[in-house]
Amino acid sequence: MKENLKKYWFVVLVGILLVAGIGYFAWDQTQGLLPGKKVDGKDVVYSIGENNITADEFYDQLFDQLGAAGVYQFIQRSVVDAAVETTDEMKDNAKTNADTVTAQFKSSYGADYESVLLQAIQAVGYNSLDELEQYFIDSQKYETFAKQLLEGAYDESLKPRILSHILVSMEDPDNPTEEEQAKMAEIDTALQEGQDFGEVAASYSDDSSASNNGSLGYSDIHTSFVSEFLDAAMQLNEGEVSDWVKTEYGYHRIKCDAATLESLKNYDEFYDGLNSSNPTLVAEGIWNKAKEMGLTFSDSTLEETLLSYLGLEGGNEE
Amino acid sequence: MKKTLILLACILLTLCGCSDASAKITNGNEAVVTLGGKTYSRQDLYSFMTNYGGSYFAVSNAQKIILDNEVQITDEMTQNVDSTMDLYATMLGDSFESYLQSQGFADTEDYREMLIQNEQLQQLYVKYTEANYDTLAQKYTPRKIQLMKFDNEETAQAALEAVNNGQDFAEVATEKGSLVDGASQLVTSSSTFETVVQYAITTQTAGVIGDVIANDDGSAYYLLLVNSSDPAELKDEAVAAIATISAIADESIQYYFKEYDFRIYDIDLYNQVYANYSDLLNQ
Repeated sequence: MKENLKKYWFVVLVGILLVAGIGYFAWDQTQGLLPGKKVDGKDVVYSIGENNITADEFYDQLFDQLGAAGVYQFIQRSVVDAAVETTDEMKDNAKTNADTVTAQFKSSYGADYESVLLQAIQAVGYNSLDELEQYFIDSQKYETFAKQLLEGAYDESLKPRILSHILVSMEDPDNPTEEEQAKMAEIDTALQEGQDFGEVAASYSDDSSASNNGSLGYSDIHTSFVSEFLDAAMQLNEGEVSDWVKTEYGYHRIKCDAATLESLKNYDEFYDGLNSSNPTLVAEGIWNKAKEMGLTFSDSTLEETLLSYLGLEGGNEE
Repeated sequence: MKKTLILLACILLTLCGCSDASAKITNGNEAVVTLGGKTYSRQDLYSFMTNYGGSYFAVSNAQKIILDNEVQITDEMTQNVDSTMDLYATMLGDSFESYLQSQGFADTEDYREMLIQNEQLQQLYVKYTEANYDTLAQKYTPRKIQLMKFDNEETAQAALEAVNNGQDFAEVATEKGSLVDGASQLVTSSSTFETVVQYAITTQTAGVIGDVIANDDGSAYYLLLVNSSDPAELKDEAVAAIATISAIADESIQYYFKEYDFRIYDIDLYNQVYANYSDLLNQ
C-alpha cells in the first residue's frame, strides 16, 4: 500500500483534489436551497412553534375550504372540453389575449413578471405559463357552453329586453318647472332630428345611467322598476321609444334596445340576467353532462359535498 | 481505496442534483374523481388547492395556532361574539346564513370562528404592546392632555385668561363654547390633530398651559394643557391606546410569527408566502 502511494502519489493527489472539488461544488449547490423536513416519515409543509404541519394535514385543511371548488374545476374543464369544439377563432382570440396579458404583466412587474403571472395562472388551476393560451381557450369554451344552456332558459312570456332611458329629474313631477319643460323639449327635438338615443341620454339624462349612454341593461316583467316605468317599458317593441312617462322621479323617455332572442344574444347583460334568474342552471348542466361522461367519485361524501356546494342538493340523475 | 474514492465521488455528484424541497402527500396517485376516461388524483387536487389559496390558509392556520397559545378565550369575548351574532341574525332574519355564504363564510359557525379570532387578535395586540411598551412609548409618545378649540382668537384669549385665573380647564371649555371637549384624554403621536397642535403636544411642558395656538390659516385657535408625559404613569391607558394603532397590528403579527419561527418546507408554498407575506417568514 505504502509503496503504491509513493509510486502513484501524483494520481492520488489529483484524485483527492477532484473529490474535494466535487464536494465543495455539491455543498455550494445546496446553499440557498429550501431544506425539507420529515416527521414520522411524512413530509412537513410548514412549522409554527412546536407544531409541524404535514402535507397530509395541510391537504385536509385545504380540502375543508377548497376541496369542492377544486373538484368542480376539474369536472367543469373536462365537460366543457368535451362538449364544445375548439375553433380557429377561439385559438386566435386566446393568442391575442395571452399576448396582451403578458405585455400588461411585463409593464406592471418588470423582470419579475413571469413569477407573478405564473402564480396568477396557477391560482386558476393551470400549472405553467405554457398553458396561458389554453386558459383563454377554455374560458371561451366555457362561455359558449354556459350561453347555450342559458338560452335554453329564455322565456318569451317574461318579456326579457334590453332597455335604455333618458330621465329629466323633477322634485315635483306634477308641476314641471319651465326649465324642466324646456329640457324635455330639447330632448324631443334631438331625438326627432335623428340623434342617437344613447348620445342624447349621455348629454341630457339626469340618471347615473347617462355615463353608459342611458343603458339600464337587462329587464323583464320581474324587474323592480316603479310600476309606471315597468308597464311602459314592457309594451315597447324592439327599437321603439316611448313617449314621456311620468314617475315619482320625473319624466322618462324609454327605449327598447332588444326584445327578440336574436338581438338579445348580442348583449352580455341578457346572459347575466338569465344567470341571476337561474343561478344553478349552468352548474346543473355541467353536472348532467358529467354524469353522461361517467362521472364517479372515490368517496360518496365528496359527491354530496359537491352537490351542496353547487346548490344542487339531492342530485340531478337523468 | 480506489473503490472508496469512486463511491465518495458518486455520492457527492448525486448531491449536486439536489433541489429545493417539495412536500408530498401520501397516496398522491389515489383517484379523487373520474370522468370521460380521465382521472384526477389527490395530488392534482392538492396542487390546485395550494396554488389557489395555499399561502392564505397556511398563514391563517399558523396565526390561529399562535392565537390559541397566546390568548385565552374569555367569557367576555364569547359574550361580545354572541352579541354580534344576535344583532346580525335579528337584522337579516332567514337570510343571515345565505348572506354569510355570499361573504365567503361556509356557515354561521365559520363566521363565529372569525369573530372569536378577531377578539383574540385585539388582545394579542395589547399583549405585544405591553411586552414592548418602553420602545413603543418612545415611538408613539403617549400624553394625557386637555384641549380647547375656538374659531376666533378673542374667545381663545378669554379662555386662557380664565384658566390662568384658576378656573377649571374643562369648565372653561364648556363656558366659552369650545368646539372640542375639554375633558382629559390620552393621545399619541398617531392621534389626528393639526400639525401645530401635535407639535405642541410633544413639546409643551406638563402642567403648564401654553399660549394660544393658531393654526396655519387662522381658522382655529387652541388651548393646550399637558397633564402628563410620563410613560410609566400613563402605562395602562397608553397600552390600550397604542394597541389600537393600525401599524401595531402588522408589527404584532410579524413579531409573533418570528417568535414562533414560522418556516416553510415546500418551495411552491414558500414562493407564494414570500410573495404575499414575506414579513412573516424566518427564512
